[in-house]
Amino acid sequence: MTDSLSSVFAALGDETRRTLYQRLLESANGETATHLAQGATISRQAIAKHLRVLANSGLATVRREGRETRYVPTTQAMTQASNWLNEHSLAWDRRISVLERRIRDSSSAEGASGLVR
Amino acid sequence: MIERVQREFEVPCDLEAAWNHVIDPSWLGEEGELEARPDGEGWVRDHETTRYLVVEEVDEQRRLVYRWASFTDAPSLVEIDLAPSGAGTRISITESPLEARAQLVGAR
Repeated sequence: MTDSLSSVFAALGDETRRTLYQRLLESANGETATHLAQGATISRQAIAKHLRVLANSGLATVRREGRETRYVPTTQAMTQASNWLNEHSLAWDRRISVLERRIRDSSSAEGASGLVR
Repeated sequence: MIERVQREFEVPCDLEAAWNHVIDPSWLGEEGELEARPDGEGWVRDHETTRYLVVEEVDEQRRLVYRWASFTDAPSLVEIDLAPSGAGTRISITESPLEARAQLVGAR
């Protein structure tokens, strides 16, 4: 789980791979590197390499079709990653409001004691 | 898609006061302890979850980096940076997931 989470983030940290993942998601039944390379500005080999990274991080499954490899997107790894972000975002919002309140309280406490003195 | 949680905010106190608040780990949960020195250890209890911390980096009043994990939560790296900003202090926090590392399971 941990390894898959960080590899999902690493895989999607690259803009080209994000675009390719998006293309996979938009396809009816996956894509091949050859098809994705049509009209693309990067080579079929480069695309194939990015697709393998997506597959290794669990964002796509691989289906052999003769000499071609078809990449079919999966969303489970992505869901785990966005759950992680959501949970941790909420946790930090909560912690930060605690910290801000404490700092506010202690600086107003200083001000108050200054007045008493 | 962002790969990490990032927050930046300002607090109305000087670096020293902000640092002292930051290294008191009880704001990270309900209660906790933290040795703010490299390789220092700590824990934070938050509801039913207890996270265990190992400090990676301390730059007094400027930067605190630790990794933490619980038995149910994947290990991650937290970086907290402080910088003076006007009369106050700007604090930025980043949390990013870490690959599982053997030393998190108590090699020390």
